[in-house]
Amino acid sequence: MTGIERIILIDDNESDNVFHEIIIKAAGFAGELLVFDGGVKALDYLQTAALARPTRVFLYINLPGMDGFDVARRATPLLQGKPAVVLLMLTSSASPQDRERAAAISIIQGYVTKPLTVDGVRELLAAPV
Amino acid sequence: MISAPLPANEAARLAALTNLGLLDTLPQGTFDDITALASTICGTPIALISLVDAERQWFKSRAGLDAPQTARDVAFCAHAILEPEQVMVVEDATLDARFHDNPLVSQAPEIRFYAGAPIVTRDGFALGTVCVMDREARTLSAAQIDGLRSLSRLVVSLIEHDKRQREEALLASEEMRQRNAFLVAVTTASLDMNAFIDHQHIYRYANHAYLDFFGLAREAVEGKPVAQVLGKEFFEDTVKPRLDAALAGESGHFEGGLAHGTDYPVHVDVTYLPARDAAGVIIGAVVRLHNVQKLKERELLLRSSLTELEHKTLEQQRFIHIVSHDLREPVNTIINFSTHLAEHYAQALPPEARRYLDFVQGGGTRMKQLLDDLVAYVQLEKDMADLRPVDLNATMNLVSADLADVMARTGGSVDWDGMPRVHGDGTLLRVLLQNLVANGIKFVAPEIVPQVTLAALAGDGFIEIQVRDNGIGVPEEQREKIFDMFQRLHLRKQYEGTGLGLSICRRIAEMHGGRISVTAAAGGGSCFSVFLPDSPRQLEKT
Repeated sequence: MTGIERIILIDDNESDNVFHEIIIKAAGFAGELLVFDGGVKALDYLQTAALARPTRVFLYINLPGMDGFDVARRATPLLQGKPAVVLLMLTSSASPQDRERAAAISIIQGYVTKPLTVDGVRELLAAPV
Repeated sequence: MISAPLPANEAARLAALTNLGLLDTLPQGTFDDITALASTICGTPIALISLVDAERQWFKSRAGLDAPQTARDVAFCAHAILEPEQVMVVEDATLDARFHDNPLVSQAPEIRFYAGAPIVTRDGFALGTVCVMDREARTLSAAQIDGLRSLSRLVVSLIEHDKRQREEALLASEEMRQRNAFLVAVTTASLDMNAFIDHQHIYRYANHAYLDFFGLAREAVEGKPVAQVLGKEFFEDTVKPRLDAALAGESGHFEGGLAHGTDYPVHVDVTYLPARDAAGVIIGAVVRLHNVQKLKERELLLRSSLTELEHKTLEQQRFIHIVSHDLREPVNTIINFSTHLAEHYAQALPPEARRYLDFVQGGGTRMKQLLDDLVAYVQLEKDMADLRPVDLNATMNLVSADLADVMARTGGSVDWDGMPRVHGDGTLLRVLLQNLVANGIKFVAPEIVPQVTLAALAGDGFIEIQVRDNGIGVPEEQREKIFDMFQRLHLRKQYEGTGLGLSICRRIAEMHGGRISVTAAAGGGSCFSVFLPDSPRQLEKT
């Protein structure tokens, strides 16, 4: 039903991660689902990952230490020219400042407010890869 | 007759004479006294003070002669001034080649005898003479000649004294003229509105600003009664009592709206001050009028802002109340029932459901903690620090007791020694130190026994309280950031926290007029420094 092969969650909130896993599976996703609780680990993974595979990354903004925007900036050289990997910011409250900051980083392609919903994930999965 | 030749310095001499301003002046008693004296000393019927002008000799004083002047070519004195050092004596004019056919000799007044002592200025100009004449030939004794010479010197002193006096008077009047010009310039340029009112309540003077304010021409104000200019009713009710007070020696004051000359009332501040002359007698009243409309408007604006602020503060307090009570209730419901479920129904749940229940419990507990911290932080915004001397040793005893449970659990310790007395709010400082010590105990690597040490240093104008730990430290690039609200550096499962503790610490330091910062402690760990002013100071109300 979809061409997306991999979903990566980057969030330090364990309960949200567990909940999002449930939702993503409930939405019918059967591909690879990876969870990182911090930016450093996620960046390490991206260094060696196959970036030609259709992937959606959900990156939480309010990470402790290096926040989501910092992670996005550091991921930029890795993800540039890799259209199969789409980076979406995950936030718990849609503040205008966050939207402005997101707009200033070109690699960020979207903005999703927590929690993910079954319908929301389905829509994302249905969109052309 | 031989007319006298002109002296060598004639032009300069004439200039000096003219410059004295003595020619053709009215008789003066002092000069007349001198001619009377000359006449008495020499025993002659005629004595003159003669000034030799270009074409004439003019008599400043004359005794025994009616003519006010004679032509210069017949003047004896024109000869006398040729020898400034000498008293010229002509004992018998009929025997003198220069004078025997002089009309003054051959006709009335038939002069026979002449003696003239030149009047010589300090600059050496012979202006004329003090001279005596007789209708009979005669001689003068040496003493009489000396007397005449003394009188001529006296005339020089008098003339020069007169000149000085005239110059001083001129200077004084010039100074007055200038002073007046300055005063006019200053009052014209002044933005203050000023007027002078006399005892009859009539405007005697109004400056530009005053006239402009009322939109009136000078002639519509000066010389006019105040009642006519400002209106009878306003004058009687408002102006007159204050004006009369000023005219009686007390200053009067009035502040309020003034509608005259403007479409809407303008708020003014008017002072009536008694004006006195040099002798202290009240000669009128000075009116000083300030347009305080802008100030008044700002005052009103400020007052409404203040009301609004008070309203907002009240709203904030209500909000805090909602947060601390109404939100706590549902949170407590979540904690209570998830805990109850976990304790009594855990066996009935599949493993993943038990895990989800843990999340519910953890989330509820965190929310409760977050609410407590949030309320504590907002409460700080509301409170003023209540500053008084605080013994930090006593504060640390309380902090240590507060943290006894954590210490027991972790085996950690907190040490302090000889803490100073500071000027501060005891309750707030306790919160601050408790946060710092608790952080020091919390943020340690696994297997490390936490140790927190406090020390105090005296600086220039402040006291530095250092709180050192043997914990994991704060990376240099995060040292500013950690004091911001909700900044967390670590994963929740590693180190618990709401991210509010250090913002509370910073806020408390600022409420004391101080600040807080963090550096790396020697041998690892962090060193938090709280800087507090070492003397009481005015604090901003927030």
